[in-house]
Amino acid sequence: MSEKKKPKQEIVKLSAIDEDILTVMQGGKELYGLEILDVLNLDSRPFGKLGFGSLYPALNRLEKKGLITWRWGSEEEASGGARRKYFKITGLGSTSLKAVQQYRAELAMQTGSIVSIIQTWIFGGEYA
Amino acid sequence: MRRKKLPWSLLFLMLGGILITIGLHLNLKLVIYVVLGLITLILLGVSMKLGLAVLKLKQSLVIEGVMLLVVMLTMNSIDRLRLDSEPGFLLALMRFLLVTLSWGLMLALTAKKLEGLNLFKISSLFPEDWRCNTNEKLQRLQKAGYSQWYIRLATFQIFLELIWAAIEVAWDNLWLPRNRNE
Repeated sequence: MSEKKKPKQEIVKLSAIDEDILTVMQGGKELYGLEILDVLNLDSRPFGKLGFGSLYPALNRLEKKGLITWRWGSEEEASGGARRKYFKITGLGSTSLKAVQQYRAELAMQTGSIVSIIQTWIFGGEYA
Repeated sequence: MRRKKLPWSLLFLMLGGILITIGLHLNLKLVIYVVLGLITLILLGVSMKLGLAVLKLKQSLVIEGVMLLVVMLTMNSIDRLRLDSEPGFLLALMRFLLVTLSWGLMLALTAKKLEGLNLFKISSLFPEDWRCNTNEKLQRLQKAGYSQWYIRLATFQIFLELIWAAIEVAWDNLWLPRNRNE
């Protein structure tokens, strides 16, 4: 009997901002827009602060890709008559993020060996 | 009553913006300056008689003078754009619409006795959660004791950001999802 092929897990390509947002949501906690922005705009953020103009299109994109879901907040939490929207990471989002993180970790571990391979390739025996 | 006045002033401004852009595209500078002058007159009329009765003449003149300067400077930068190419023309159009829109918003903001928060209460342009987040952010600034001018400026900045975000979201949503890895 031939062994059944294991279905390949779907991984979605993430941009830098997608990755940041998913990392914030990684714990599984539901967060609303301003909360996400607060976490993303830590003082240690090395490049300019993120604004609503970048956040909302990114959230829309993530939702379209099925990486996050949302629900409306309650009326009591509403501000100026408008309700909050709570976002949560989906299974696919979590898997995709973990795949990227794992890849980065492996990449970092192998950096040393890759550098030595490249050096040998470029300089050949002379370098060795 | 006042709520009905905002679309009128915006309509005038947007129409003026489009006319100026077309004038620029056709390289009719005289037309542009005449239209610009007419818009200024219309705005003065709108702000003093119809829409912005709260404004005093002096305030109105100062604000419009500043905004006129902004428009002139934008025009100056647009002159350097390549208007004969489609992207250049679209960019110029977008920029003019934004400037004229912001002009109208600034006037509307002033009409509301410069209370930045009210702008979002009357605005239903944006999704509910966007308005909620903006309100909350502005309330935070108020609680932190920032001056009214700082809050007004922040409101204005956020409003422009939201316009861009809305354009981007609308553009993204034009396409049906085909491949998640796009």
